[in-house]
Amino acid sequence: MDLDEAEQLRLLVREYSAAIYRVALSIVRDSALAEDVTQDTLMKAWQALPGFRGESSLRSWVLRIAHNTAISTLRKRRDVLADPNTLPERETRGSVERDAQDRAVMAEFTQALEELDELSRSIVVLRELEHQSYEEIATTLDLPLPTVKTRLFRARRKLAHALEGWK
Amino acid sequence: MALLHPSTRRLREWLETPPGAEPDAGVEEHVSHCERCADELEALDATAEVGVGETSEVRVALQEVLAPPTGLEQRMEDRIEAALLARRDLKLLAGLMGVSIETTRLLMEPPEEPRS
Repeated sequence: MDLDEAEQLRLLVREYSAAIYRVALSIVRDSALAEDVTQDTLMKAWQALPGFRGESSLRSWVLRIAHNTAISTLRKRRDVLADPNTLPERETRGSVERDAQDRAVMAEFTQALEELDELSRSIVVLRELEHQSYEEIATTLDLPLPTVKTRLFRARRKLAHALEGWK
Repeated sequence: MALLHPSTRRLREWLETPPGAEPDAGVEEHVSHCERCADELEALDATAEVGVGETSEVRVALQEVLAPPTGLEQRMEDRIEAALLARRDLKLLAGLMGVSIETTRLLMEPPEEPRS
Protein backbone atom coordinates (compact mmCIF):
# COMPACT_ATOMS: atom_id res chain seq x y z
CA MET A 1 0.00 0.00 0.00
CA ASP A 2 1.58 3.30 -1.03
CA LEU A 3 1.09 6.63 0.75
CA ASP A 4 -1.73 7.77 -1.54
CA GLU A 5 -3.64 4.56 -0.96
CA ALA A 6 -3.12 4.81 2.79
CA GLU A 7 -4.39 8.38 2.74
CA GLN A 8 -7.43 7.38 0.65
CA LEU A 9 -8.26 4.69 3.16
CA ARG A 10 -7.87 7.08 6.07
CA LEU A 11 -10.15 9.60 4.36
CA LEU A 12 -12.79 6.96 3.72
CA VAL A 13 -12.66 5.89 7.35
CA ARG A 14 -12.94 9.43 8.68
CA GLU A 15 -15.57 10.61 6.24
CA TYR A 16 -17.90 7.62 6.08
CA SER A 17 -17.49 5.35 9.14
CA ALA A 18 -20.38 6.91 11.07
CA ALA A 19 -22.78 6.95 8.09
CA ILE A 20 -21.92 3.36 7.15
CA TYR A 21 -22.40 2.27 10.76
CA ARG A 22 -25.86 3.88 10.96
CA VAL A 23 -27.03 2.20 7.74
CA ALA A 24 -25.53 -1.12 8.89
CA LEU A 25 -27.04 -0.95 12.36
CA SER A 26 -30.48 -0.11 11.00
CA ILE A 27 -30.33 -3.36 9.01
CA VAL A 28 -28.44 -5.86 11.17
CA ARG A 29 -29.70 -4.56 14.56
CA ASP A 30 -26.59 -5.55 16.44
CA SER A 31 -23.77 -3.15 17.27
CA ALA A 32 -20.90 -5.67 16.99
CA LEU A 33 -22.21 -6.94 13.66
CA ALA A 34 -22.69 -3.36 12.45
CA GLU A 35 -19.01 -2.69 13.19
CA ASP A 36 -18.05 -5.78 11.16
CA VAL A 37 -20.18 -4.52 8.27
CA THR A 38 -18.58 -1.08 8.58
CA GLN A 39 -15.10 -2.58 8.32
CA ASP A 40 -16.05 -4.80 5.35
CA THR A 41 -17.68 -1.87 3.58
CA LEU A 42 -14.68 0.41 4.06
CA MET A 43 -12.30 -2.24 2.72
CA LYS A 44 -14.54 -3.04 -0.26
CA ALA A 45 -14.97 0.65 -1.08
CA TRP A 46 -11.25 1.31 -0.79
CA GLN A 47 -10.37 -1.63 -3.04
CA ALA A 48 -13.02 -0.70 -5.61
CA LEU A 49 -12.21 3.02 -5.54
CA PRO A 50 -10.04 2.95 -8.70
CA GLY A 51 -13.09 1.64 -10.58
CA PHE A 52 -15.47 4.30 -9.22
CA ARG A 53 -16.85 6.05 -12.32
CA GLY A 54 -18.52 8.98 -10.64
CA GLU A 55 -22.00 8.14 -11.92
CA SER A 56 -23.32 8.95 -8.46
CA SER A 57 -21.78 10.84 -5.57
CA LEU A 58 -19.03 9.01 -3.71
CA ARG A 59 -21.25 9.07 -0.61
CA SER A 60 -24.13 7.36 -2.43
CA TRP A 61 -21.76 4.78 -3.84
CA VAL A 62 -20.23 3.99 -0.44
CA LEU A 63 -23.63 3.78 1.24
CA ARG A 64 -24.86 1.46 -1.48
CA ILE A 65 -21.95 -0.87 -0.72
CA ALA A 66 -22.85 -0.56 2.98
CA HIS A 67 -26.50 -1.45 2.35
CA ASN A 68 -25.62 -4.45 0.17
CA THR A 69 -22.96 -5.68 2.61
CA ALA A 70 -25.37 -5.39 5.56
CA ILE A 71 -28.14 -7.25 3.71
CA SER A 72 -25.76 -10.02 2.67
CA THR A 73 -24.36 -10.28 6.23
CA LEU A 74 -27.88 -10.54 7.60
CA ARG A 75 -28.80 -13.25 5.07
CA LYS A 76 -25.73 -15.30 5.96
CA ARG A 77 -26.59 -14.87 9.62
CA ARG A 78 -30.18 -15.96 9.01
CA ASP A 79 -28.92 -19.06 7.24
CA VAL A 80 -26.98 -19.96 10.37
CA LEU A 81 -29.73 -19.05 12.77
CA ALA A 82 -32.78 -20.86 11.50
CA ASP A 83 -35.02 -19.43 14.18
CA PRO A 84 -35.66 -15.73 13.40
CA ASN A 85 -36.22 -15.10 17.10
CA THR A 86 -32.55 -15.83 17.70
CA LEU A 87 -31.49 -12.91 15.53
CA PRO A 88 -29.54 -10.29 17.44
CA GLU A 89 -31.79 -7.89 19.25
CA ARG A 90 -30.92 -4.26 19.21
CA GLU A 91 -30.37 -2.84 22.65
CA THR A 92 -31.94 0.53 23.40
CA ARG A 93 -29.18 3.01 23.91
CA GLY A 94 -30.08 5.42 26.64
CA SER A 95 -28.52 8.19 28.60
CA VAL A 96 -28.45 7.79 32.37
CA GLU A 97 -30.54 10.86 33.07
CA ARG A 98 -33.43 9.86 30.79
CA ASP A 99 -36.55 9.21 32.81
CA ALA A 100 -38.57 6.03 32.64
CA GLN A 101 -41.22 7.46 30.33
CA ASP A 102 -38.68 8.56 27.76
CA ARG A 103 -36.98 5.17 27.93
CA ALA A 104 -40.30 3.45 27.32
CA VAL A 105 -41.01 5.67 24.32
CA MET A 106 -37.54 5.03 22.93
CA ALA A 107 -38.01 1.28 23.36
CA GLU A 108 -41.29 1.56 21.47
CA PHE A 109 -39.57 3.57 18.76
CA THR A 110 -36.80 0.96 18.49
CA GLN A 111 -39.40 -1.76 18.14
CA ALA A 112 -41.28 0.22 15.49
CA LEU A 113 -37.99 0.64 13.61
CA GLU A 114 -37.30 -3.10 13.81
CA GLU A 115 -40.77 -3.92 12.56
CA LEU A 116 -40.11 -2.04 9.33
CA ASP A 117 -38.70 -4.10 6.47
CA GLU A 118 -34.97 -3.70 5.82
CA LEU A 119 -35.45 -1.56 2.74
CA SER A 120 -37.75 0.89 4.52
CA ARG A 121 -35.26 1.18 7.38
CA SER A 122 -32.47 2.04 4.96
CA ILE A 123 -34.65 4.58 3.15
CA VAL A 124 -35.58 6.35 6.39
CA VAL A 125 -31.96 6.44 7.56
CA LEU A 126 -30.68 7.76 4.22
CA ARG A 127 -33.34 10.46 4.20
CA GLU A 128 -33.42 11.53 7.83
CA LEU A 129 -29.82 11.06 8.90
CA GLU A 130 -27.82 11.22 5.68
CA HIS A 131 -30.06 13.93 4.18
CA GLN A 132 -30.15 12.30 0.77
CA SER A 133 -32.70 13.50 -1.79
CA TYR A 134 -35.34 11.07 -3.06
CA GLU A 135 -33.37 10.76 -6.30
CA GLU A 136 -30.13 10.03 -4.46
CA ILE A 137 -31.83 7.34 -2.38
CA ALA A 138 -33.27 5.81 -5.56
CA THR A 139 -29.74 5.71 -7.00
CA THR A 140 -28.14 4.43 -3.79
CA LEU A 141 -30.61 1.58 -3.38
CA ASP A 142 -31.36 1.05 -7.08
CA LEU A 143 -35.11 1.57 -6.62
CA PRO A 144 -37.83 3.36 -8.59
CA LEU A 145 -38.51 6.86 -7.26
CA PRO A 146 -42.17 6.14 -6.29
CA THR A 147 -41.03 3.17 -4.20
CA VAL A 148 -38.62 5.40 -2.29
CA LYS A 149 -41.28 8.02 -1.61
CA THR A 150 -44.11 5.71 -0.65
CA ARG A 151 -41.96 3.53 1.63
CA LEU A 152 -40.54 6.62 3.27
CA PHE A 153 -43.92 8.21 3.96
CA ARG A 154 -45.34 5.04 5.45
CA ALA A 155 -42.24 4.26 7.48
CA ARG A 156 -41.94 7.76 8.85
CA ARG A 157 -45.60 7.73 9.83
CA LYS A 158 -45.18 4.45 11.73
CA LEU A 159 -42.13 5.80 13.53
CA ALA A 160 -43.89 9.07 14.36
CA HIS A 161 -46.80 7.04 15.75
CA ALA A 162 -44.40 5.27 18.13
CA LEU A 163 -43.21 8.65 19.37
CA GLU A 164 -46.63 10.04 20.22
CA GLY A 165 -45.96 9.83 23.94
CA TRP A 166 -42.69 11.73 23.61
CA LYS A 167 -42.60 15.31 24.81
CA MET B 1 -49.52 -2.13 -12.12
CA ALA B 2 -53.26 -1.38 -12.10
CA LEU B 3 -54.02 1.37 -14.62
CA LEU B 4 -56.60 3.25 -12.53
CA HIS B 5 -55.18 5.64 -9.98
CA PRO B 6 -56.63 5.20 -6.47
CA SER B 7 -58.79 8.09 -5.24
CA THR B 8 -57.37 10.63 -2.81
CA ARG B 9 -59.53 9.06 -0.09
CA ARG B 10 -58.02 5.59 -0.73
CA LEU B 11 -54.52 7.03 -0.83
CA ARG B 12 -55.10 8.78 2.47
CA GLU B 13 -56.50 5.59 4.02
CA TRP B 14 -53.50 3.63 2.77
CA LEU B 15 -51.11 6.23 4.16
CA GLU B 16 -52.89 6.23 7.50
CA THR B 17 -53.15 2.46 7.89
CA PRO B 18 -52.63 1.99 11.65
CA PRO B 19 -49.58 -0.01 12.77
CA GLY B 20 -50.38 -3.70 12.82
CA ALA B 21 -53.24 -3.43 10.29
CA GLU B 22 -52.92 -4.77 6.74
CA PRO B 23 -52.60 -1.99 4.15
CA ASP B 24 -54.76 -2.12 1.00
CA ALA B 25 -52.67 -4.44 -1.22
CA GLY B 26 -54.01 -2.95 -4.47
CA VAL B 27 -53.06 0.58 -3.46
CA GLU B 28 -49.72 -0.65 -2.12
CA GLU B 29 -48.81 -2.31 -5.42
CA HIS B 30 -49.94 0.69 -7.48
CA VAL B 31 -48.23 3.46 -5.51
CA SER B 32 -44.86 1.77 -5.42
CA HIS B 33 -44.61 2.24 -9.20
CA CYS B 34 -46.73 5.33 -9.92
CA GLU B 35 -44.96 8.70 -9.84
CA ARG B 36 -48.24 10.64 -9.94
CA CYS B 37 -49.64 8.88 -6.88
CA ALA B 38 -46.29 9.11 -5.07
CA ASP B 39 -46.42 12.87 -5.60
CA GLU B 40 -49.99 13.00 -4.30
CA LEU B 41 -48.98 10.99 -1.24
CA GLU B 42 -46.16 13.41 -0.66
CA ALA B 43 -48.68 16.25 -0.57
CA LEU B 44 -50.94 14.25 1.76
CA ASP B 45 -48.13 13.29 4.10
CA ALA B 46 -48.91 14.89 7.44
CA THR B 47 -45.46 14.10 8.76
CA ALA B 48 -44.25 16.97 6.57
CA GLU B 49 -40.50 17.12 6.34
CA VAL B 50 -38.32 19.66 7.99
CA GLY B 51 -35.28 21.01 6.23
CA VAL B 52 -31.74 19.75 6.45
CA GLY B 53 -30.16 20.94 9.69
CA GLU B 54 -33.52 21.28 11.41
CA THR B 55 -34.85 18.57 13.64
CA SER B 56 -37.95 16.46 13.71
CA GLU B 57 -38.87 14.03 16.47
CA VAL B 58 -38.27 11.05 14.16
CA ARG B 59 -34.86 12.38 13.19
CA VAL B 60 -33.86 12.99 16.82
CA ALA B 61 -35.02 9.51 17.84
CA LEU B 62 -33.15 7.90 14.93
CA GLN B 63 -29.99 9.78 15.88
CA GLU B 64 -30.41 8.42 19.39
CA VAL B 65 -30.97 4.74 18.59
CA LEU B 66 -28.45 4.55 15.72
CA ALA B 67 -25.67 6.62 17.27
CA PRO B 68 -22.20 5.29 16.40
CA PRO B 69 -20.20 4.18 19.46
CA THR B 70 -17.33 6.27 20.80
CA GLY B 71 -14.01 5.60 19.10
CA LEU B 72 -15.53 3.98 16.01
CA GLU B 73 -13.16 5.63 13.53
CA GLN B 74 -10.01 4.74 15.46
CA ARG B 75 -11.25 1.18 15.89
CA MET B 76 -11.93 0.91 12.16
CA GLU B 77 -8.44 2.17 11.32
CA ASP B 78 -6.88 -0.36 13.70
CA ARG B 79 -9.00 -3.28 12.49
CA ILE B 80 -8.40 -2.52 8.81
CA GLU B 81 -4.68 -2.18 9.39
CA ALA B 82 -4.65 -5.57 11.16
CA ALA B 83 -6.68 -7.16 8.34
CA LEU B 84 -4.31 -5.76 5.69
CA LEU B 85 -1.26 -6.98 7.60
CA ALA B 86 -2.79 -10.45 7.89
CA ARG B 87 -3.51 -10.41 4.15
CA ARG B 88 0.06 -9.32 3.39
CA ASP B 89 1.40 -12.15 5.57
CA LEU B 90 -0.89 -14.59 3.77
CA LYS B 91 0.41 -13.36 0.39
CA LEU B 92 3.99 -13.79 1.58
CA LEU B 93 3.28 -17.29 2.81
CA ALA B 94 1.52 -18.19 -0.44
CA GLY B 95 4.61 -16.99 -2.34
CA LEU B 96 6.91 -19.13 -0.19
CA MET B 97 4.72 -22.19 -0.65
CA GLY B 98 4.24 -21.54 -4.35
CA VAL B 99 0.46 -21.88 -4.15
CA SER B 100 -2.43 -19.47 -4.56
CA ILE B 101 -3.67 -17.29 -1.70
CA GLU B 102 -6.98 -19.14 -1.75
CA THR B 103 -5.21 -22.48 -1.30
CA THR B 104 -3.10 -21.03 1.52
CA ARG B 105 -6.23 -19.65 3.18
CA LEU B 106 -7.89 -23.06 2.95
CA LEU B 107 -4.83 -24.77 4.39
CA MET B 108 -4.73 -22.35 7.31
CA GLU B 109 -8.43 -22.49 8.12
CA PRO B 110 -9.25 -24.42 11.30
CA PRO B 111 -10.89 -27.80 10.63
CA GLU B 112 -14.67 -27.81 10.69
CA GLU B 113 -16.34 -28.92 13.89
CA PRO B 114 -17.62 -32.47 13.48
CA ARG B 115 -21.38 -32.49 13.00
CA SER B 116 -23.31 -34.11 15.78
